[in-house]
Amino acid sequence: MMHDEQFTPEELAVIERLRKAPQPQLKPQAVQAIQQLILQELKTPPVAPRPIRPAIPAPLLIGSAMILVAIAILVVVALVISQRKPTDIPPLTSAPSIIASEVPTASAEPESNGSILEATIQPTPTTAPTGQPTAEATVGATADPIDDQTVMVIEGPVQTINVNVITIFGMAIWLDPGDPILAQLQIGKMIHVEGRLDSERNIIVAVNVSVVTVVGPGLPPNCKMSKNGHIKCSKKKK
Amino acid sequence: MQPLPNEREVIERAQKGDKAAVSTLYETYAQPVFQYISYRVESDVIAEDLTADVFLRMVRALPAYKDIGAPFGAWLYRIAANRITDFYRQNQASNTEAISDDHRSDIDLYDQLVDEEERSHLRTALQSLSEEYQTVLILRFMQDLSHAEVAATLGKSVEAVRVVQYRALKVLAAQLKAIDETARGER
Repeated sequence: MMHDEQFTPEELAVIERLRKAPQPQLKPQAVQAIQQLILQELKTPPVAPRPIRPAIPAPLLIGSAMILVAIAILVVVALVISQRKPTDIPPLTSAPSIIASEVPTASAEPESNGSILEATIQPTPTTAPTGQPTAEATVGATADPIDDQTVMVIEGPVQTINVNVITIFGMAIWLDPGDPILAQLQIGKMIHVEGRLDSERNIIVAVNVSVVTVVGPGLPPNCKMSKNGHIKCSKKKK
Repeated sequence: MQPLPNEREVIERAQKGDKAAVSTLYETYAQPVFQYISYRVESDVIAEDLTADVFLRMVRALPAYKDIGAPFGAWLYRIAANRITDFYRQNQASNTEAISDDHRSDIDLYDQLVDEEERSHLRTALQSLSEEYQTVLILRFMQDLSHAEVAATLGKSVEAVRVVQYRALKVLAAQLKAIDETARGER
């Protein structure tokens, strides 16, 4: 075993030299600077380990969850509504209300034997038109107390054109042969007719005819109107 | 280096963030730690920087410090030794000895030059030794630590420290002899 006391003279000289070695001192400025540094380090809070549970307060978390659920419900409802929307659009006038309203004193008696005429147009129920109703026929019979004439209003697509006699919803409408509107008429075109019923000839004598501008997309591209007013739609190709 | 009489209590307070306690520990150990480092590196400027690092690490590590019976100083020297090792790994130490800005008399200046020469020789000789040899010799004979304290610093047994000391002294003696002879030859 070796002991401290057993040194050679050479080793003792080295030890003595080490013990007397100049000991440098930290300068006062350095002492203060380091002290400030470590005290500043003390002020800096240690980085806390990340908590396992979220640091968000529980009430806030619950509130956020409720808001998210509410948003989810709203989105679902909006989706359902958007799915139902096309069917909510008024269907293509499946039963155009051809109304012949008559004043009790009127002499005119609509052929329909009533004030409501059934529409001949029967759109395919599977179609889902996206626009406004494109076919509407309204037959209004108002009594004219002055000339005792019933004025009828018919609005619908032209089904046939025979010189100056056209048909709308199967009703023959006589137009003045010199009426310039005749040049504009085409089968399928929507027109507005005001006229009087000629009960003897069972036709309507047009007094005023005008072309109706259909607002909106009209018939879907896969639908066509036949001459008799029927609308036929083919299934959309997917 | 004399440990504080109530060192355990001071350490406990320092662990809780007591500034006064941390300052007390720093003021007690700053110079010895700096002196130890100054013989392990090329310049006092580097030694100052590393001393600052050692005490910053002390503050950060204090909450986890556990008193296992070893002196607090031993723990600090271990931090210092590790910091020096890191320093040499990260940097190629350059000889950037600080130019003293002190204004002293000629006599002081002569003494200072003698001291600087002696320090230079010792530094050169010590730094030619292994890290372990350096630490043992500096702590044992410059810092006047006991074998037990050095053993605690190095994490070795007292007997192992004695053996290291014996070998280190022999190597250092040879190194110093060579350095001194070279210096005499230059004059």
